[in-house]
Amino acid sequence: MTNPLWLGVAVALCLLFTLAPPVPAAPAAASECLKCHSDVGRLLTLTRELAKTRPALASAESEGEG
Amino acid sequence: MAPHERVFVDRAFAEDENHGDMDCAECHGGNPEAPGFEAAHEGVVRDPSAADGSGACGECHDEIAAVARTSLHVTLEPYRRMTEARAGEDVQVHAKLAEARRASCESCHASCGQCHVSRPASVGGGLLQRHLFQKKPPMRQTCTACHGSRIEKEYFGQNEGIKADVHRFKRMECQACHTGAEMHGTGVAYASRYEVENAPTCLGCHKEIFAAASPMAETHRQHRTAASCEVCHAQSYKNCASCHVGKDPAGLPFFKTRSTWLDFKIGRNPAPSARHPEKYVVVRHVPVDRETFAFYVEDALTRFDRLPTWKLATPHNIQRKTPQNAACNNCHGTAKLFLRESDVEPGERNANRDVIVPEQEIPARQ
Repeated sequence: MTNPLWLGVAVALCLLFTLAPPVPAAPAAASECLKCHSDVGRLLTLTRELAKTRPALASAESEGEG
Repeated sequence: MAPHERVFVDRAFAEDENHGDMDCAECHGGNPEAPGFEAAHEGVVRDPSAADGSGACGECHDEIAAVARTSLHVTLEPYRRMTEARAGEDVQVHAKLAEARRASCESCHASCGQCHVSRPASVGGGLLQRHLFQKKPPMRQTCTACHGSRIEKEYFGQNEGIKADVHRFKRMECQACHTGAEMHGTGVAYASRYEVENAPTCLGCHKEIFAAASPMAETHRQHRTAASCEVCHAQSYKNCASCHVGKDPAGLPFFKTRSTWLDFKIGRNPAPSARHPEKYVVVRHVPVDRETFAFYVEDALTRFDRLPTWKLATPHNIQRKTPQNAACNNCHGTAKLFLRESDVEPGERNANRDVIVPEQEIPARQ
């Protein structure tokens, strides 16, 4: 015969795992971002391509010491 | 720093016990699962701490983030206070000045991330140590990357003929004096860095200079409220004039300073305080002039004369022995060391009336 105490513990554990919030996100190690951001070759290619299409970020008209 | 190096992330970042468990998107946003560069980077925030750090950093570092909102590196409050004090009452003018500050002056804003993760954006950004968080920001890549034209050149002896700071010879870095607590702010919205309560003072370390055993105790005691430490121990330092800000045809902000020069001037302390009670202090010309914001709004600084253009300075090129402290009369009676009326441009004399040293007030020869 099943011990009601054990049954209670089992139900409580089931509830705990069912209601617990999911793990919010993958850690950095598993991130898709690192596939590119830790690959020098891919970053070189990508940044060279971007440099062709992106405008300058700083004005060439600045003069003197800031 | 090459463009690809700026965004290269060390895989060892994942082993950071404090930050490695977080997904990149948790702080930076974006959509890592989306295919292609554009889709994956949509909504990405380069510096999640840019506003004030309360979001990304404040979740864990809540005590620091709470006070960092008032850090001068975050607020740049003196720019606002100084420009508004010199402007009149016109709200339209104040709006234009705010626009100018946002475009030009406030690019010098720093954040948690721009000291502990990357170089500041105002000097081009780029990750420090491949995104490995730096508890102590590296001096050359963060502090002096921004504070370059004055502090860096003074401290490292890069101004021709001027020695490096004596503390540099002791291999001291910025943080030896400027602690994290000072940089992070205290929760008080200071108007100037000279008000910051936990900023360093010379006497904080050099407590012994008034002690009887100190070889210069009597001299130090005599000058205690008469002259700031820098009056005797600083060398010539950088002064700037007439910074004008504007935007080029592409809409990018620029600045132009008319001139910079090395000089050493002792002025009257226009606002003695508990931290700086001395009668005489070293003064530096700051780059404001009446037309600094003319690109945005004409005649904005109608109350220009309310604030001096020669301001209290603390040059970072300290030496134990300097030309002015080699003998009493190298300073006493040496008029050229003092900021006299003839040193100040006629249009700025009224603004500097409390700083200019009248001939009769120059300390007499001994």
